[in-house]
Amino acid sequence: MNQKGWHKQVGWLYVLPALLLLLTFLIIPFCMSVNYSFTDYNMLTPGLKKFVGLQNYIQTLTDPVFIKSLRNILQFVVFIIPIQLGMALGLALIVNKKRPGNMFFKISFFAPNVVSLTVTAVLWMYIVNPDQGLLNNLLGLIHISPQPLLTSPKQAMFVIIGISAWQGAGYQMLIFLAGLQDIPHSLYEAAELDGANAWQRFRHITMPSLRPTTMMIMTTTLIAALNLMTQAMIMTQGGPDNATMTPIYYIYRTGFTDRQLGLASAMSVIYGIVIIFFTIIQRKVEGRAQKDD
Amino acid sequence: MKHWKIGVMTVAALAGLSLTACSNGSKNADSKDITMWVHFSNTDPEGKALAKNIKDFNKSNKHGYHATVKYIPRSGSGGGYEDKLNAAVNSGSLPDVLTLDGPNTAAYANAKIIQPVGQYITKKDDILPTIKAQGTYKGKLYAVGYSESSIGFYYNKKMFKAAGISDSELPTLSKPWTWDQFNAICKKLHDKYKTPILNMSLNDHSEMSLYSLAPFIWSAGGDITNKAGTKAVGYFNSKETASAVKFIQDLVKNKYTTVSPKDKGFETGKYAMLMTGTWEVQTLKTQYKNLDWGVLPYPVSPKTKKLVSPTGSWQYAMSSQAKNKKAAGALVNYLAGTKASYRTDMANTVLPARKSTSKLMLKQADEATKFFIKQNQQSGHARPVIVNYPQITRTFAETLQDATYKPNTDVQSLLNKQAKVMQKYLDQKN
Amino acid sequence: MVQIDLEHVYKKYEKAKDYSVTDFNLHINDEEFIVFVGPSGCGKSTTLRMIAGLEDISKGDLKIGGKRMNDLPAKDRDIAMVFQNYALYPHMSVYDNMAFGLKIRKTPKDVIDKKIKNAAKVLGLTEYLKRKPADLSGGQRQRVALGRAIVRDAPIFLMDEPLSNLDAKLRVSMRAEIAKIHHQLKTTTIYVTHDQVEAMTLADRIVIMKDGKIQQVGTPQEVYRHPVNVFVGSFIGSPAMNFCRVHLNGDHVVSDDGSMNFLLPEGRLKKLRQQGYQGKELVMGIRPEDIHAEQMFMETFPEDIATAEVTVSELLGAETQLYTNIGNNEVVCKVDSRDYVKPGVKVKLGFDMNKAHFFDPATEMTLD
Repeated sequence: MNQKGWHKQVGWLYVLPALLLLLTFLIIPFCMSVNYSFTDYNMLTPGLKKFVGLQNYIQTLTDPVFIKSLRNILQFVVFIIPIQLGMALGLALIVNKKRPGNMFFKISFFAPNVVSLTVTAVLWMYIVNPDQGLLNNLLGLIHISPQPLLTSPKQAMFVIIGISAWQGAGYQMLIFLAGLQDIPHSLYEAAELDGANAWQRFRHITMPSLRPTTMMIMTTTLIAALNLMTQAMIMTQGGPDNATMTPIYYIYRTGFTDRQLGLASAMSVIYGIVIIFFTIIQRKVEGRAQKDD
Repeated sequence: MKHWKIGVMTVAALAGLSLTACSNGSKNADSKDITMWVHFSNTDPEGKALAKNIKDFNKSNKHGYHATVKYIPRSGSGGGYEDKLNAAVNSGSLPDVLTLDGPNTAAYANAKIIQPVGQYITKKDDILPTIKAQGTYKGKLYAVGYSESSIGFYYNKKMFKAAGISDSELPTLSKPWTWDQFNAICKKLHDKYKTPILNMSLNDHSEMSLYSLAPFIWSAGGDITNKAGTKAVGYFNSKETASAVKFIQDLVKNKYTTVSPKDKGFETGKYAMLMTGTWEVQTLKTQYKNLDWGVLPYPVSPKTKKLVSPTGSWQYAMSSQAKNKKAAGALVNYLAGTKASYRTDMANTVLPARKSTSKLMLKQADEATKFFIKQNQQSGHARPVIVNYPQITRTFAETLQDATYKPNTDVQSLLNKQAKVMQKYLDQKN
Repeated sequence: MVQIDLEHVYKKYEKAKDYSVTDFNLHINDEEFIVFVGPSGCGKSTTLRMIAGLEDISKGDLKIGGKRMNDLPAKDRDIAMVFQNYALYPHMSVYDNMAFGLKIRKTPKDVIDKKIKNAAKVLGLTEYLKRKPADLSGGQRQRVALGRAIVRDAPIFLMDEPLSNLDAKLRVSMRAEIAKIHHQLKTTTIYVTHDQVEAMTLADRIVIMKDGKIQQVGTPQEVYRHPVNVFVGSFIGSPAMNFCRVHLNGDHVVSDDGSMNFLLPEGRLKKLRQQGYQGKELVMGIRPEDIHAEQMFMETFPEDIATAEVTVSELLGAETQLYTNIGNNEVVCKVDSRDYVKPGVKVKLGFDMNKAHFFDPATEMTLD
């Protein structure tokens, strides 16, 4: 065998472990999922599952709770991305200037991210307790009456959005920080001499330079947002009135609590398609942004 | 040179196969070995008690049976343990004997994960009727509970006195408060303290909801489903059920209780009353020694005056894959028997599941526990035995949540809607 | 077109022990092209940046047009600057790069367009206006940077080593461009470089700096012909001035090892004696082009000859550079190519003592 052929085989060998893992933990389970989605698979009676055609799909697409969960997650995504990115960028800008105590701020802004999401959720439940929680106490100080927060279908999702942004912003702050420090200082000096004030420098230099970083963070935030489950599960169990039900939580509940694995599989296939749709949109936005560069 | 690829893949496949092949050891109908899985750790008081029980069983049984236990501590409410059971169902590696939470009886029986064990249980009359009801599905006894549970209304003696409530106004097991009397007491407390004075865990939408609030419905003469567990319409939305839900809703409306209680509010002297389970006794005795407290029974429907309290806890069951049924059944019978379950109940400070163990425990129990044992045996009502129990309990919790979060909701129309939802779950074929 | 005055300007960075710029005094005339030149770290860029407003002035006054500018922020000083790495806005086209400053100042669109088109013509950028900086070569980028400065019509241009990143050929052609632009626009310009050739060719006046202090200010001619100290003498001119320690014995200067023994002309001798250097040690500096190998010179000045051993010969075309050893001294001389000599050969060299420079050995200041 010649050199080239040998290199090819060795190349395959290097890739093999990763391929096997991909196959075992991603591709095969996915195929199994699609398979199960056409059956009435109940977790306790695996041997009794029967083919039921598109029944699960029809049931899912006509399930008001599932539809609501899709609307909920859309609402979440639409708000979390600008809020969390805005917070992250803001924090990065603050921490970027040489200030005494900078290290302290960097650590405290990042700290929420190292706490497990479950612990964060539990802690925040104390803070947002409508009767005794810290948040309503503070609002009271500025003469705002206590808010129902998590007990209100209208407010619950926004409370979760706020908490999620608080938790995630620190990590992205670090990424933005790296992006900011990559911007050559001389660009700002040139702009200063051209007569630009701080806001103009931010708009014309900082923001365009951060575009690739921003795109990347938007992608990772979007993926994490679409997977929202922990906060809903711990803080509200999807309520009140399914106002905070998320697709992933609903799939989990249907599959593992209600034991309806067939139905849950259909839901996950449908949601998988939704995610692909989001990805395509996001790619288009990124592509257009890249062209402008 | 494709040999390379094929070779490696074959090796990998073989390795995978061999792993699955070496799962269980040999199991035949004459084997004296009994395997058992439990949902707690061997360092828990419950685990330590079980270890002693197993030792005694192995020593004392006349057939030479030998039991070994695998401890699989659960996370959350059943979490890791149930996952393991489910996985074992699929791979055919269930143990001979397992522990099982009350509400899962119907589902596991229906799915043939467990098999009837009644023929191996002796002294059935000694077992409390609520325990037997909990473990019975389609007329057969599938599981035997080894401990009971209850809910009581803990009250802060000092706060009551300060609100002007005399001892004569307090309820007893023979003369519990009616709902009207209960409202009057709450009003007195609310007038004094101006804030919600009762923690009913209305923010807990887990099993606690049905477990702790269904007794109100039962007291009023309503129900969640019919006895067979096949119909919810006509039962969950009956007038009687509605009256009970309205009673709870009014407690929120009048601000006697709250949908978002402060954690440990009762223990720290904020709420005058706390509706919760027997486990609270230990908490109060060890962590809040300065609190002067007592326990009161459930309030009852003014129409029926019937005292109803919740029941149910974990059970022992024999798996459908147990080859030596006699051995497995003997273990279940032993562990659920007087000596063994008494040891377990004492270690875990839970209520007894048998009349004989009750007698023993009443002798040495403290006031609160004595109260609970009595309330439990006098008024205990088992939860419905339904295959789709998770969906039913969740619908119940959502209903109560809807009724209490928006206290102006019309209860009857809400129940009409939710009964239909429940019916759909009951109609599901599994 | 304004005058700039720097009066007793000092710069000290926060955590530094010493001053980066010490007692900088300079008056720059309207329309002048001033070059700050010196080795790395001499403070030339720092001073430039203080004028721009990019660095704070620790002590002293900066006056532009007679007005004190110390506290005025950079964006209000109406100064245009060309950076060493061009600092072009990477996300804007060439057109937008040049338009940026004007847009900020709210110049009307048609005026902006005219200015850019003009500057583009001058700099040969017309066909590149739509391109982004990443798509330009180094030289093109430099021209855009220049263009950005030109369209501003600012009264002061600052240039911080603008040619340092270009290759040699480009550097030469851009030098000419800059000179041309200055000739056209007549803007007061301050130019920083470490390259003394740029300084000599572009400047109206040169400011030579070392260790944060001005060594000498003067026209290229003055600085070349009359260096005020050893440093200036060695810095200006390529190849550098030759230095050796000599003693003034009688009317001769003699090197320590005796390999050089030259008769001094009357005038020079008198001056040195007047300053009390008879019999004392001196530092003698002589430029390579003032060392001759032709017969004619040797015959005219027979007392100023030394024997040199050639180590390296560089034939540059019209002339030859000879690196030689005279005793313990390394001496470089520039001779006509006809006098090319191979390495290893011993050759006689004549030293033009009229053109020699003398410095005090301790203070290194000129004695001329």
